[in-house]
Amino acid sequence: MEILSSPQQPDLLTNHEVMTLLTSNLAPPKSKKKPVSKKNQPNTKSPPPSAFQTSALTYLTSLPPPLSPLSLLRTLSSPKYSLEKTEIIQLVNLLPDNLPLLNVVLPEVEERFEEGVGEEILEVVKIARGKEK
Amino acid sequence: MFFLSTIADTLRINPSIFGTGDTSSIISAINAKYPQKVIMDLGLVISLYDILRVGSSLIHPADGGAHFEVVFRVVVFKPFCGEVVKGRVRNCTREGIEVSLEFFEKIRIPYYNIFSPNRFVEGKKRSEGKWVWDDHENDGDVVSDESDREELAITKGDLISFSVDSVQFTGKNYSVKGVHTLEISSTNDDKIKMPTRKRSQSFDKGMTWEEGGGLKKAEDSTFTTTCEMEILGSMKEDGLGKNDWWEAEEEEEGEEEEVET
Repeated sequence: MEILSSPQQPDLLTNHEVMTLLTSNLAPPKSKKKPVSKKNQPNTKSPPPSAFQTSALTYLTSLPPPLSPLSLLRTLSSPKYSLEKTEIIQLVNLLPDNLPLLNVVLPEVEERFEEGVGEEILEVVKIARGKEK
Repeated sequence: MFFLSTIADTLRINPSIFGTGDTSSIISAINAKYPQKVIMDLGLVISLYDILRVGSSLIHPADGGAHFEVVFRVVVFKPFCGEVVKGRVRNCTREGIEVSLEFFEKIRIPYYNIFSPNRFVEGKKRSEGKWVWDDHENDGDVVSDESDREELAITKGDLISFSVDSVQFTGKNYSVKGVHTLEISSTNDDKIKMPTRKRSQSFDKGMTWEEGGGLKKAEDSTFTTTCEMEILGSMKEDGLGKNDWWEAEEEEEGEEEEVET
């Protein structure tokens, strides 16, 4: 086994993307074919959904995802905010609704941004979270 | 928290599933081997993402299976240092708080990384203990009886936010003389390689110690050495802990502003 990608610069995924992947993996296959006789047929069935992946999906569905994660990602990625990739991922995953939590996700908000930008980001996240309700 | 990692590996496909003409057998082989496995310095593999390339197959003497060289991507779980994660409290002890993410449970917040000032309150049962954040300066005091006042407490089952302090990997090898640690790696510290003595090749090469005793030949040398991952968290900054604490504080500030106006 050899790891080809660099762990220092990984391709990050949001919780919503992983949830979508696991949901498609664990969904039962749709087959309209008639059942074929099992005699002399190779065993091509995929392994049953593992309890591990089911528990991962349970955890991800317990956290409220944004209704439109792509639009939220585009908004937060705009040059206006100059956010790091890791900060954007955390904002999409956590959907912070208070300033103290935002200050943990975006360190030194008051020094990095102009006055009011922190509240603006909170409002953007609130809209993304509120649309779902 | 999750990222993609590209891996190249040689997978063995059983002769019983030859002739399918698609990649389902390779997908099955990957799904049987990788999910729920911890790879040293990389993280916990969650699921296969996609297959990038399937090389030509090789058949070894005295082995009817075909060996394919496959390059694929997997979804890996490993939060980065400083990342804020939400989890549910599994247990509160005097040593700290144990947190669970349903699929991963080796997360702990040591007592020295919990908000201060704090105190640990023992419950009637060992699992009913709780950590309390209060204004009084009595760090580390153990109080057996709690007073009837509204307190900021964390108990078993609470949903909390915490920041990741470090991620630790421990490599273990099961050999004839038992389990010994090969390597400890942490995202904050340098790697610590444990000293190993030279052994007879017949003992260690391709052999593993079976649980319950006895030697067995390792089916796959990749996971002869097991690896465990542990996450250490911190809850010292404002905004972490239970979400209710900070929402209530903001509502109070809003009411104060209304009164002033």
